[in-house]
Amino acid sequence: MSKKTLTLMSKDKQLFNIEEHLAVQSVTIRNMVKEDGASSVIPLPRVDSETLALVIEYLNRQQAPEEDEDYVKKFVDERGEIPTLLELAQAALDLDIKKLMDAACMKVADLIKDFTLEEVREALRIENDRTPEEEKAIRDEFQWAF
Amino acid sequence: MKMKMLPWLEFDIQVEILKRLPVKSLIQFRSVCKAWKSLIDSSPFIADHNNVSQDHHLMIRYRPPCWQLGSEEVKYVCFVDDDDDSFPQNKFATPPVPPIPPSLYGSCIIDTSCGLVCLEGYVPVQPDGSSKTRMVVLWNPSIRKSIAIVVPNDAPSEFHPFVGFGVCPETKDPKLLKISYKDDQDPYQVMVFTLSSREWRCLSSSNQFPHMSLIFMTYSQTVIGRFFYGLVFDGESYLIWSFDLSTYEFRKVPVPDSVRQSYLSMSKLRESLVLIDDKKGYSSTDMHVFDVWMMMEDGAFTKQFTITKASIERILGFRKTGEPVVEIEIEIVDDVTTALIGVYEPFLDHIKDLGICRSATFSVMCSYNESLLLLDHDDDDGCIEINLSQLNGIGNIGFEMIIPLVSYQTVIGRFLYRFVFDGEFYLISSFDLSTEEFGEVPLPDSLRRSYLFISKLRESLVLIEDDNGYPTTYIQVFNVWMMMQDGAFTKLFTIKNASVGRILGFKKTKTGEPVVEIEILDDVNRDSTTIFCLRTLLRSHQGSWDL
Repeated sequence: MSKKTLTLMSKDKQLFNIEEHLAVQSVTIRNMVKEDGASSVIPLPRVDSETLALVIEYLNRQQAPEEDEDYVKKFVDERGEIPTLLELAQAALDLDIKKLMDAACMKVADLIKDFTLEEVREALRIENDRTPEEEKAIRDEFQWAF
Repeated sequence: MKMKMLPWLEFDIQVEILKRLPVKSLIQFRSVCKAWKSLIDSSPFIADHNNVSQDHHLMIRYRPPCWQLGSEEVKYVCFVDDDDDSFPQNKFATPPVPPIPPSLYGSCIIDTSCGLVCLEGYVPVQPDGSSKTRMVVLWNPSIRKSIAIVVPNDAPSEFHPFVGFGVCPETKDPKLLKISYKDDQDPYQVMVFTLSSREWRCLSSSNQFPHMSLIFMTYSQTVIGRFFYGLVFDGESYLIWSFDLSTYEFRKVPVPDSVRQSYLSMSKLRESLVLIDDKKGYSSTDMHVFDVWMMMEDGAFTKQFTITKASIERILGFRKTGEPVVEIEIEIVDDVTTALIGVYEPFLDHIKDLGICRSATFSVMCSYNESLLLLDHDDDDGCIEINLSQLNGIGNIGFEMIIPLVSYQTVIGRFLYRFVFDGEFYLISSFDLSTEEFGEVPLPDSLRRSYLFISKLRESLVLIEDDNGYPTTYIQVFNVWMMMQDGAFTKLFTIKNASVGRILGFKKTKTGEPVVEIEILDDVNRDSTTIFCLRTLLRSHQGSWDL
């Protein structure tokens, strides 16, 4: 029996082929295959091609199950840039690939844990919606931590 | 590499990242934006964060030496319990002092669960020390926050109620268990406190404590998963019972016959219950040999290993790696023993020094994972919450590893005297209310093992020695000892009267008549105890009571 192949389409309309038995590590894809057979192209409108290429590289890994933990750690370690990791984490969350999402978020957490507030905001693109006085009041609740 | 522009970051993914951050970062990142603060402060996030593995710490509570009675401060040191070789370098040099009420006397660590350390002690309610409240403090050292909870005490004061602590792993709700014993006829009264309800509730009769034993080993309790384990001694052998923190069911846990009559203590090794059997026991001749038994999944205990090393005096607990943290007694100066604390590495047969030297008081070790628990608790009714800022410099918190006795304290002048029991002997500690210094009042040797009460007669400290001790015989004999100006005790008089059950105190009059309690057995309500305040002549044994 020949292995069935699926086609995934990124946000920027690039097409990626992947064997179905590997693709269904993503719970989202597995459900789509179950529902309508997914003979046609599966569109992933929130994942760009660079990120999707990474996801597919991960899904195609040929690791023995016992080495999987180390592999996924190393996999995210090698992509140590926060913006890339965030995209990867987001894609893994959307596609419901738990191990990849865990590892990517863990890596981001590890990178930002010693950041200043301003660095965190910049890295995660979060707007400060407080006045400096309000911010200080919250900070003062746990002065020892700063 | 080019920077990618993220138009926004989904909140879901922010939550996933935050869940994996250490506690200290989260405390800081509450200020990042409004959404993060409400998330981090929310109960579901706090519970969820606790499920993601966090740094494991060992906390050691000890009194440093330079032996001056009572004047040393209790110190807490924490180590990050890593699997790698960096242990024990990664240590908190000056860990935060627990923000506990400044007047929490005789505090001791009960246990830890889900990042919370549970301390227990007493707080005097009246300035003269005539009434006091038993209190439990839940302390989260990672966020430096604590909550004090009053333990109701309606049992006769001579029965020290047992207090247990555990956090329900499903709901992350901290719970306290109180077991008080009334008398031989009555079953144990069991009450449970949940922090979510902030209420103590009596358990229904179907969840009663199995009526089997008298002596609760307060410092031998452990929570594993949703089960709380307690060690009890029935006078002959050890028994273990478990309490389900979700269903509130008690169970007996079978203890291997070969260790039931040993000198046992209970601990935790990774997430398993272990029993430490000190083969030396109470004898002072041989060296210590410790058998470590572990409870397996089927509930049976299996001997895991034996620790034989002459210098090891006590096992305080275990590292995540399984290496025991031990005390090594090093010297005896003027009858005072000090000890070093170290980690025993069995394969190297070597003890790695942790750089801690304690005084004569035993040190206590507990382990905890960082957690955000209590972050969502505000100061409101039912509990007293204390912020660290109000309590800087609180260090003297009484004796540890010593059982504080409830109504065994009194204030005379500027000294608060209280009774403590170190498992073998009675001691009297004094606390100077002006200088906040601790001291010890020497007891006559003949009294150190007796069944004692503390009281005051006019403005002198008196000890009431119950000559009958614990077993109930028909005629009660009480010896009353008074502390003289020079600090020595002299026997003043003896009270012998069949109907006197207990001496509650003395009148302030010149004759110093005792106020006593008489037990009356009436047929309708056999267990009722009535308190009479009586005038009696000390010299007259017939005791013509006039009410």
